[in-house]
Amino acid sequence: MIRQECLLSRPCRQAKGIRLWLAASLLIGSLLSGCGKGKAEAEPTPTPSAAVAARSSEAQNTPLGPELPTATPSPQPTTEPATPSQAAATEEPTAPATRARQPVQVTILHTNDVYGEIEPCG
Amino acid sequence: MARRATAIKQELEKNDGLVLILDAGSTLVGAWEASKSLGQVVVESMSLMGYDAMTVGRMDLAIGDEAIAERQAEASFPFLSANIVRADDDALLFQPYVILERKDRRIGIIGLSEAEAVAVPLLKVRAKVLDPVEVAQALVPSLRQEVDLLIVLSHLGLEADGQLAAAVPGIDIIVGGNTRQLMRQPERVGNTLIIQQGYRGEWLGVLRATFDAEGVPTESVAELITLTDAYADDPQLAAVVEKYKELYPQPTPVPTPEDTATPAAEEQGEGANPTPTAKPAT
Repeated sequence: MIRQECLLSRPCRQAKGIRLWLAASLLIGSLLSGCGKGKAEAEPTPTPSAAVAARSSEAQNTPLGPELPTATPSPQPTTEPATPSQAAATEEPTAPATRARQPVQVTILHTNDVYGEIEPCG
Repeated sequence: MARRATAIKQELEKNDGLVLILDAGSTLVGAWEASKSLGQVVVESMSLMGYDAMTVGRMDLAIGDEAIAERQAEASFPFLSANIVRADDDALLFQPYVILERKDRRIGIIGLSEAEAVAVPLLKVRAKVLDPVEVAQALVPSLRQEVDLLIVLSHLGLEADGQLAAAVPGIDIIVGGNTRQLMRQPERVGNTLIIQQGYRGEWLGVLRATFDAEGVPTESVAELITLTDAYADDPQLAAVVEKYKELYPQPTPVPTPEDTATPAAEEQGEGANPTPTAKPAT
């Protein structure tokens, strides 16, 4: 089982920070606007914090971390307050919306096993 | 390095489509200036060249966990490994994958490391390498739903790449390393294309591929760019290389009996392997 956090990667830690901040904002928002109403609005999007974190990272062309909700079968390291409905939703393997796949034409420039060579050829 | 930058620039100038620049690991150290700077010269150069991601291999972790964390902080691209974890609690040491959005397409890139990656003396944290097939089987199905193209950056070796492709449907391309194959054309296992190119930065691999909306590769062509002096040094990269050569001057070499044996040893055991042998699992 893999814990979905990384210890040596700064973008990863930043994404996690954004997620926690958003989760706290959502909780405070739901408390201020009335708990029942807040929960009802939150239920259709089981992991809004991850989704929003992903959008904000992409906007800056920053690599996304392991914030996708079902990246591995192991439980998410969540410190977010989860409603019962949210907890149930995160257990479903199909939580992320399926998007239609688009055809792709790609060129990949690639290297491997460079071993720190800086010259003459490398 | 400076020639590689020129080759990359030339490719980018003539191609306004979706282009990714990737490295399949064991990249940061080995040569003198790279080892003395703990990979700094490599990371600075790769960032300038516009690399999108690299995976982590043994010659990357060889600088130790503290230094590789510093290099990751300096890099403009992520170091990926979905299967290197801390031994006591399975916490990931690196970002496992990245999703890039380019040219109205979403591209997922997963990093996978070889079992020997953590067998390096400078690694202070007790780490282990999880089975790459099991990790990919856990990651690919959900990630597949969110991207148009799914790439694995692998330092597993060509045979293991073939086994991975056979065991885990949904991977479009495996860009590999470790076994140092010079591949004239990509291998195909199911709908997965597998490619790698050489070693020590003497070549730049180019893979042009088209996948339809069902994920079937309808076209794939590999090119092997040998970085001869036909590629002039890129001035910016040449300046970076020169800076590090001045910072870490090499000692005057003293000829030893081993020197005469080294080229033959490289030819036999450490050179590029011209015979691709991707083998799907039976």
